[in-house]
Amino acid sequence: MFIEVKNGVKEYGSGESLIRAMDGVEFGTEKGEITVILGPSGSGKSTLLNMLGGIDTLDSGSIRIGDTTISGLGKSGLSEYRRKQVGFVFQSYNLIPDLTVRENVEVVADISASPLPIDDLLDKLELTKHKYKFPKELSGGQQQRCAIARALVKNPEILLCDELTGALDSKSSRDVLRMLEKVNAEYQTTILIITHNEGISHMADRIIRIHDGRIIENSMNSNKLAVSDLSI
Amino acid sequence: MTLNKRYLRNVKSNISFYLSITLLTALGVCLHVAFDSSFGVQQESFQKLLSDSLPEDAEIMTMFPVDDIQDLENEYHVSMERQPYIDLDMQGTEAEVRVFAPGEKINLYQIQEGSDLKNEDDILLSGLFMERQGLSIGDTIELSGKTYHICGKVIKTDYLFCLKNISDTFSDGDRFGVGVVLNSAFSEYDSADQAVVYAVRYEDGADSVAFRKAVNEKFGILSYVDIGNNSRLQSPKDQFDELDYTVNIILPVSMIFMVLLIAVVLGRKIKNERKMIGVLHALGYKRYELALHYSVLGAIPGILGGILGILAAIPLIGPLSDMLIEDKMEVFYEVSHITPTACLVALILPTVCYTIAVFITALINMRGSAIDMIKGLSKNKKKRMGLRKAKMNFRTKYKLRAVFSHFPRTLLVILGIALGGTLVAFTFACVDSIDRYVDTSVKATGDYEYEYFLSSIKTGYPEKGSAVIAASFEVEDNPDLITLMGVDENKLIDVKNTSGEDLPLEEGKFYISEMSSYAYHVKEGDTITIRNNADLKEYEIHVDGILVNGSQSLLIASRKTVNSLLGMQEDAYTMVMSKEKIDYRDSELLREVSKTSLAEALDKTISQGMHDLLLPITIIAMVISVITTYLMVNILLTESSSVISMLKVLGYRNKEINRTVTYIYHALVPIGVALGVWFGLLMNKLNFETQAAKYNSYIENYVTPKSVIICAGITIISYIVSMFLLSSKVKKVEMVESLKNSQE
Ligand SMILES: Nc1ncnc2c1ncn2[C@@H]1O[C@H](COP(=O)(O)OP(=O)(O)OP(=O)(O)O)[C@@H](O)[C@H]1O
Ligand SMILES: [Mg+2]
Repeated sequence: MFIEVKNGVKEYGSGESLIRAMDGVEFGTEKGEITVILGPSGSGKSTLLNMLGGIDTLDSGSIRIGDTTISGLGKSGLSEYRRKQVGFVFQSYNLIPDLTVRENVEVVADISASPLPIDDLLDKLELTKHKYKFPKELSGGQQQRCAIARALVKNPEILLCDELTGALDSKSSRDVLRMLEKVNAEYQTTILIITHNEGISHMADRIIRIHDGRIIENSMNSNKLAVSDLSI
Repeated sequence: MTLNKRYLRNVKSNISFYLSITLLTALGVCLHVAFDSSFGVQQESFQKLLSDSLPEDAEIMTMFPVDDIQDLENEYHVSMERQPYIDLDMQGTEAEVRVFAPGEKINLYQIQEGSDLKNEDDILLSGLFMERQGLSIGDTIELSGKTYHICGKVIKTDYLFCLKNISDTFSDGDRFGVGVVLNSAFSEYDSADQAVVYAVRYEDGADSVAFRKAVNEKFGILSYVDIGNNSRLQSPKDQFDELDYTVNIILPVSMIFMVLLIAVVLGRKIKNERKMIGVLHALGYKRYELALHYSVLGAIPGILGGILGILAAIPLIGPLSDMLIEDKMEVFYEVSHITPTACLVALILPTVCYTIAVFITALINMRGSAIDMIKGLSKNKKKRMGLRKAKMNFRTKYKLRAVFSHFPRTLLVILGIALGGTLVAFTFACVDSIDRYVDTSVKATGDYEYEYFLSSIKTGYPEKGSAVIAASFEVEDNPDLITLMGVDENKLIDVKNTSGEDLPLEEGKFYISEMSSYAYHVKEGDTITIRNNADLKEYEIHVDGILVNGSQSLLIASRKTVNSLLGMQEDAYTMVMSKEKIDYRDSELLREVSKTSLAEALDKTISQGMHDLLLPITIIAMVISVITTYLMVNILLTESSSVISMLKVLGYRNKEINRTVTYIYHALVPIGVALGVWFGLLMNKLNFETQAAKYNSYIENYVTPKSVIICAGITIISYIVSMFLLSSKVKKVEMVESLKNSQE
């Protein structure tokens, strides 16, 4: 397994308000797979993704990505890990408002060892027309594509997407997902997608369901569909 | 109410911000309260001393004893009292004590410590003298053969600044003091050994000139000293005036400025709560309800800062009183206590300002629709700085946009940087200007080093030095004195006009110094009436030129011209100027003044106080500078928290984040420095302009390059320190927290 979580436990709060956001999570995916994570609200999806991305740390258990056990890393170790290997896309695009589309992508290109050519990437994401615009001047879908470009420019090994289509209509969602499909095919990027939309799960190689902080299903998708064939 | 939890959370997560605000408020309040309390009480007691003592308006010495005081008083609406004194030697020392009998109408003595005179051998002595002689109440002292018992410390307003001669520059407690004994004890001294002066107080509407003329006709005035020219009382008065200016204008204005600045910053901080306010508003909280609740965020640092400041001021009051008063003059003062008005202002002003600032900001932020607020859209769409296609690193563009597209914030930062610099520049400029003034004013007078005032009029030419005839005059109704000087052509005194050309000392030609021309509004070609201040004889003087001399009140002409004006022998002189020391016998001299000691005296009276303040003010300025800069950039970090958190998620190291987000204002530091120096100089100029009358001259605004460099250094160091303090703020920004609610 390329990604492996063993007995991951994460608790928030204390006393009566104690919440087990991860309750002994066992999980793994292979390199280059697209994994879709499903589950009701509050079940711990984002928590798991944040752990994988090195934004948050486990109370107990371990996480291994490739050769690195990131659950053993300190703050700066995690920062280096994020810097080198992980791309993030969130529901809220979190673009830097004072920077244009292109500059937002440069932010990441600037700190990565071998960034992809920015203009090619923007072209692939159909953003060439918009690259000198500020985030406020873009639609939600365009902003999200910019966020994807930012996540991809370092050519990360893992791309983590938390409800990236949550704020988009179905046309824009489809556009965005097409990009992920393209990237996965071209760079063999391992992609994890959190969604509430069952339709999206059909583009996955692997489908995971979470409930109350536990993984209740981890199965391969036998009839994987192209994004253009999804009903979302 | 559940809203209350919000404040706690808000305060907690911004603890360093609120702490800085509280501290800065406390600092401003502390300075204001400490000075106002320590000085206010002293000033009050000084005023009380003046009104209790009935100090003289003038002091007259006459040729013949004034025997119809009663008639003069009735006719001219004055109050007049004969005040004899006798100078007695203190056994076993070189010191002298000038002993008075108690006055009844004018210059009443006050007991600073101890008890009043009861017995024949009781004496009250001035405090500084007792201190220097190591005497305390209960001791005995032998004065010219008679042993007195010291029953207390006395204060006489006519000897507040205890000078033996009015023309002296230093009060010398080692050699001179004053004492008061009972009338019965005083009358035992031979009247031939006594000196007699008449103290006068003018009532409202009194015609002082008519009175003086009458006295002169009948009794012959030898000397007349207006209280304004009598540094025994005027010098302490001036000191109080100067302190009054600092304490009652500069400090309150600084505090108000600081409070307003903080209010603006607080408002700005609350603006970041827009989204939360929007949500709460959408949930049905009323506008005023919400605004009021947020006001608490302003009220807390206001009240806390006020209380802290007052508490910190309490231990400072005592030492500060000592520093402000004790070494300057012998004023009895009540032990200072905290003044309630200062406390009230300190508690109310910041609290009210901050609360209003927050209240208004909250209200303004609720003007748009709730939806917009939740989304965090502001009503007035800001234009972002372009540079879209410019070939520049994104960091540079980010910085430029952060600086220029958020101009109010940038302005605040510049002000924050400049604030400390202003204070430092003001202080340094003040010291520099005075130093230069002392330097040049003494130099401008000429090349001589010693002035010998002779005890009798001589004629001809002295063996050494240059002869001068000098006399003091009043100018029309102005009691300030101008010196009329008749000099010989010599190299010791510069007689030059303002453009540096020599003014010929021809017969009948008079030149007035620049300073007097300014003070009396006299131009070249005008005529000025001067009046002998003893016999009131008037002379008309035609002014033939302006003499370059900004520090002395002077009319200058050839010796012959002056002597013929005054009706004296052509070659008479009363003073000798010299480059070298001349040995005169004591009896030949009234006094001797060396230029160096004059410079020292000038330095002591006007610039020493400022020199002493340099270090404390610099330290205070640095603290203010560090905290304000910290606050301003803290705002920047609050407003950039989502960017910071995002950069963290993207794997930026804290150092890199600081470089991109925090350190964007480095380029503003030079502007802040320049502005600070400029403000400081402006303040200094204003200060000297308003105080020109007090210094009796216009001190030119001046600052040395060294001082500018020091100001810049201090500002830069403060900036670096606050940057250092801020650098750890980035560490504290949570990735998860701000990702959840950040969306612009
Ligand atoms: N920082 C936090 N502090 C306290 N509790 C938290 C925190 N983050 C998550 N939780 C709790 O952990 C549980 C799991 O949250 P998580 O965000 O992972 O859910 P989710 O599956 O992503 O839900 P959604 O689909 O609504 O995004 C929730 O009950 C949530 O309240
Ligand atoms: Mg979630």
